[in-house]
Amino acid sequence: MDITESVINVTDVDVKIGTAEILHKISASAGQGMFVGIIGPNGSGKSTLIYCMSRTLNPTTGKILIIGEEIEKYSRKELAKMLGVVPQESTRTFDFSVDDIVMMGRYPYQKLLRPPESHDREACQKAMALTGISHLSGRSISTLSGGEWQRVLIARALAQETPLLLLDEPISQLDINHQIEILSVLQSLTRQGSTVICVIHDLNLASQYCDEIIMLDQGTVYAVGTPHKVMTPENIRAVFGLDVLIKTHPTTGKLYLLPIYHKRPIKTVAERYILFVVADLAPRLCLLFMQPNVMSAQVFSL
Amino acid sequence: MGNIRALNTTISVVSYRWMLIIVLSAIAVISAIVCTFIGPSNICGIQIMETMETSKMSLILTQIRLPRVITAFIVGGGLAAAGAAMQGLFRNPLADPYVIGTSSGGALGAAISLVIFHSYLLPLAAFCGACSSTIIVYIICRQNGKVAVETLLLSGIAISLFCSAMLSFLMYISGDDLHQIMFWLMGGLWNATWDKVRIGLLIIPAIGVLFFTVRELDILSLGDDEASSLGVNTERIKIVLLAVTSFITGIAVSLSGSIGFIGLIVPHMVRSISGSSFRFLLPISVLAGGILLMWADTLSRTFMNDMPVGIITAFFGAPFFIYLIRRRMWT
Repeated sequence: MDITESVINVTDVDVKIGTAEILHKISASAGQGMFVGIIGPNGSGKSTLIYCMSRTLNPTTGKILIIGEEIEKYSRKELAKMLGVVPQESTRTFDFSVDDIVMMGRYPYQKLLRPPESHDREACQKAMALTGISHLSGRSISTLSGGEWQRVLIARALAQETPLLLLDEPISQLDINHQIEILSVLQSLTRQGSTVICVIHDLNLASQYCDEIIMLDQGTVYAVGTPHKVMTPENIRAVFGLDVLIKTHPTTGKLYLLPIYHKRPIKTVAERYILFVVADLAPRLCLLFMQPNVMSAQVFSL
Repeated sequence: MGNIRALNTTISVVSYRWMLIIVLSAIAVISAIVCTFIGPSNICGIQIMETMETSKMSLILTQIRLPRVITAFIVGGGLAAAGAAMQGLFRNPLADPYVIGTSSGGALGAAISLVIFHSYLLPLAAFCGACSSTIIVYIICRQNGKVAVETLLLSGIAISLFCSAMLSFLMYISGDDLHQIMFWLMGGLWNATWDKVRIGLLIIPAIGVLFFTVRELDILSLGDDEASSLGVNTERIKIVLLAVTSFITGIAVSLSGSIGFIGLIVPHMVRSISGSSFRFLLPISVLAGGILLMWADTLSRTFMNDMPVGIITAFFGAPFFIYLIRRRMWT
């Protein structure tokens, strides 16, 4: 993709924390209107990549462009008008109301000491309606469940009305109905021209909603492209160490994964032997010693 | 329908808070008048008119009591505002100028200037002391941009103890009497004069600066990363808040020694009636803190033979502090 076209462009980003290299030579980009999913096992650097993209963390080396301009060139306020961030978790130290939290999304637009204006209120109401939390208006945040709180945070990012949204596992605590609802809302935003970059753990939902998937493994990009290109049994086995069947969803035509529910395939002769001794032979011998009157033939009958 | 109802509740909540501000302002004015007329030498309005010693009475009222009442209000309001702001800044409901060592730093600074410069620049020295102890505590307990409760309290206590020890040492070598040491360690308002009130007025613009940062304080209490992703320049706002809260505490200490726990108790009580949003928490805390200290001081000088008012605030504040710590453990 051409650099000028892409809303966000990450080039050769390295992140080192102490001696540990969290990200290594990451390059990625997202064009306008794209729904990009970031997948990968725990500790593969998904959140760190989101931190870099939102300038929460400065990469050790490498360059990040937001709408053709280097990310450091923006002031915090300008950046907050460009990209909204939904964090993985957020602590609730003080007891604000839901409306207060969503209104915080309007901070970059508000003037000093001015009360919120009508378009600020409208943006908040719209964001709350989209995330299905209008009924929580006026509630205090300490009374919310984990899933409701997560939707409040998403509403706050939507109230920012940014062309780019970065979400770090935004649906991890939602029930399946709300997971689909939130992802559908994000998808409809991309149809209206927004760009969404989202860390998703559920590979089926990722393939269902994402236009493009970035698969991370140990701090590097293992594969990138459409779900059809990235979600292959080979890639999943290499990155997640899991055997899966890939099927086509009967109604949507998208891919979905079925894990093959057995342990890792056993390969070597030595492994087979150890498994035989530990899992098969040893229990039978124990049984034999504990109950000598049982015929050995019974115990060893196969 | 839902929207209209939500809007109505929002409006009623907001107007309820405005009502609270108006009522508290009225209480503050009435309290100030009442407190001026209460004291060990019994003066009431009728007496002034009746007796011939009007000039002496009015002298007591205008030169002793009135400045003292005003100082109490400014110091109490300032400390409450500083406490509320620090709680937002440290993202921690247990922060307060006294608990985290700002007050004792200010007291040390004031004492140093008293010994060396003979009280010129005393407010400035108190500010410098308050500022440096806050910054030291902040640097000690900051880890990965976050401030943990335990380290905050421990480093605050450590700095407090150190400053108190230095203060006692200074007083010991300079040969001051016990009364002076008590003043800085416990806090009292018996030194209040119109000159002090004039210095105290500096607290008002400082509180004004805090009002400019209410939105940032709200957002900052969610965490640095979230605040900056919402567009807050966190580093700059932290420096502003540290400077302003230290300034307020420094001035307050230079007027009245280190009066404890006002900044802790008041924002807590206010939060339970006004909610956590700083745009109401801050003004209501200022009013409530001022009223509280005015009455505490009146109580101490009328009935307790001018006992340092810091003893009264500590007497009620320390158990409250323990209660807060216990409640944190339960949740």
